[in-house]
Amino acid sequence: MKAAAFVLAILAAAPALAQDLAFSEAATEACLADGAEPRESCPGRSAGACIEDTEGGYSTVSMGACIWAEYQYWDDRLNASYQELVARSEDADAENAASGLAIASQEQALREMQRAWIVFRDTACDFERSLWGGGTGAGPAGADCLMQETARQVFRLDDALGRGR
Amino acid sequence: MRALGLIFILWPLAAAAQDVPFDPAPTETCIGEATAGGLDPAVCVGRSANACQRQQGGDTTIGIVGCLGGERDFWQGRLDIAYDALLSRRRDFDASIAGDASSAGRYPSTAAALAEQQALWEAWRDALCRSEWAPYADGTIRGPINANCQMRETAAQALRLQRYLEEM
Repeated sequence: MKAAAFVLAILAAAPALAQDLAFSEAATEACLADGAEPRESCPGRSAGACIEDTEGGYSTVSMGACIWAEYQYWDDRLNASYQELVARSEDADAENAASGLAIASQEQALREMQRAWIVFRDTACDFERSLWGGGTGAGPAGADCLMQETARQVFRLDDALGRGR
Repeated sequence: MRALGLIFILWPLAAAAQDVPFDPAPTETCIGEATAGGLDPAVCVGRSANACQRQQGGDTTIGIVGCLGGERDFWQGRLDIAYDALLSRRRDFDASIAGDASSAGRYPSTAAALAEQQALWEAWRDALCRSEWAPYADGTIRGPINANCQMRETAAQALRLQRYLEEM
């Protein structure tokens, strides 16, 4: 919810600009494919390239929009990985039930984890944004936090799926 | 008599578990080098735990959990220091806002916001680690999986709070 309100604030400020963004996920994906250490250094590469390649990219609004574009890339990956993991844990729960194993539901543990993560991420990013006070850095800082935290959650879920990058 | 026999069997195991010493130096050295080189100290997480596990007895379930717990405690110490420094600076900031008549009462407490994100982090960390060991709930591997998760996420939060401090 907070994230949604935040993106509206950014996009309202940049109606014409969204089409002119030179965003591509290539830089982030190349960094991951190259095996950069730590992999946490890869999220933000595409946003950085977008800021450089977009005309007037170093304005606060453009920076926020480039970072937001990469946030959407990670959020799409997160949704795909999460759905895959939910499906896998449903299968495991069904298998355990069929073999009479009284083991706590993996799917429930996964859903509780993801709910707790969203609340933490939004609260932590609100807090980080508050450190910038009302300054112009607050917008990009808040978007960067959402993008970085979402990328890290993708790494965790992909680790659980047995693929690290 | 049978109980006594069991004690003699378990005795060397207990002694061995306590004998795997944890040394924070590998992770500490790595953090120092990464910071000096402008690199992300996230690469350093687990260095000491890995070195600890290479020692005799460090590759048993008890040894692995002990080594990971040692590094978790190391990062918890850094987390606590960063949190206390942040809290003190947020309290100063809140007091300066409260002392300004034009803005008094218009801003929520940033110290309270810090405490809130920390409480939510703890709740999420436990839910996350539980979801990681849940697939192995009936196996001994669940201990090491939980210990690894706790260490990794405590380190991540310590580095997160450290970043907040640097941004202020």
